[in-house]
Amino acid sequence: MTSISLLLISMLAGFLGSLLGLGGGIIIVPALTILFKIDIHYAIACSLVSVIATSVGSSGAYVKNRLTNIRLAVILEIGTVSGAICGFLISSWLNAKWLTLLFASFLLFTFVSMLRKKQSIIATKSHPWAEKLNLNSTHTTDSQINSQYHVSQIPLGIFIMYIAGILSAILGIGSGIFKVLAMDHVMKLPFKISSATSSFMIGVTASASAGAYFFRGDIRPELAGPVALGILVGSLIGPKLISKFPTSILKKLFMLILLLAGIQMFMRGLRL
Amino acid sequence: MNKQFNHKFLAAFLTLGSFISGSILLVGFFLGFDLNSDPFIFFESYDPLTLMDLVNVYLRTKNYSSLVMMSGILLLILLPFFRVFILLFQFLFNKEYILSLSCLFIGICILISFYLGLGH
Repeated sequence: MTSISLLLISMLAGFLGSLLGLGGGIIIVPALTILFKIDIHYAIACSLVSVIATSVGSSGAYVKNRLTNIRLAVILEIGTVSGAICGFLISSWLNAKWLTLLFASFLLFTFVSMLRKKQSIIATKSHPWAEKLNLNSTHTTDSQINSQYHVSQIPLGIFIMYIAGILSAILGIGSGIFKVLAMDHVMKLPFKISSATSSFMIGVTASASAGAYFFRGDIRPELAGPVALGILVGSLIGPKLISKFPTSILKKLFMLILLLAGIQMFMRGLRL
Repeated sequence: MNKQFNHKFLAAFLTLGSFISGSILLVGFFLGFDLNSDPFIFFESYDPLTLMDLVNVYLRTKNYSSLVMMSGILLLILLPFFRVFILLFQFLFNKEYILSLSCLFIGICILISFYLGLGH
């Protein structure tokens, strides 16, 4: 396997991630460990760079289109960056076996979450902090109506973001799935707003842990360079081709990859 | 808060930042491009090296492609950190002190995480 194959796999990861609204980490870590036989410590550190690349690449457009609730993102990032610091410290205590098993569990959890389709409920009442900090905003619904939305359960949201930050630093993922779940189901925000705000926040969460891994010397440019480049290109191409690809088929294919990678990593973790 | 300025400026900053870091990574990638080598063989087991050791190895072996890619990666990592400070000044300008303090806290946490990386 050469750098060019890693570049192509990362482009595919960025492309799939941007079409399905996920970061590249969930594809990059299994690809590096299963296909390239890279130690999971390097894979996780490298994956965090890909997470930043996905976030920076996609959040510019979301911010421009006013889908991101920047004020809410700032409040929730308090939880994610604190979690990222704790996660980085915890990661020093975990060996390759536990990291692999934990990652396999995360892949299987993501598979189950994608299998279950929950109906979003939009909050009708705001949390007092949302009123005080002016966090409620408006969005355009599918029927092109400009509608106001409220932000509820902020303290619980910050706590879930703290857990998401820990997982992000330990597993080298953006934890977007937890962030969207928290904003969608707990804080009851419209799905598009949750997904855009999550994408914006992922960069800061990953920056805190990636910075620590970078200064520790765990981010090796021979790995992270082609990965970040591939992800950046893939996430730029994805949105342009979204209309030409049947997202439902891609989603099923992605779920199959998640399941197979989850089982494979679980078996690998048991063997370590 | 002047939302128009905030959104447009932030979006331009993120897009330009990703373009610059992507270009640096591209240059570094092609500087060291070799179709026949397998650079991944060294990463099959974890061998901790400090950042300074790593930079010294690259300088000694004249591995400039890795050094260029390293600077692209560093820029990518710092982009969200700079974005936090853009928001900090934006909120301060609009006298929104709670949100400014939140940004300051986030920025300090990121700096602490960098320091922890150097210390481990």
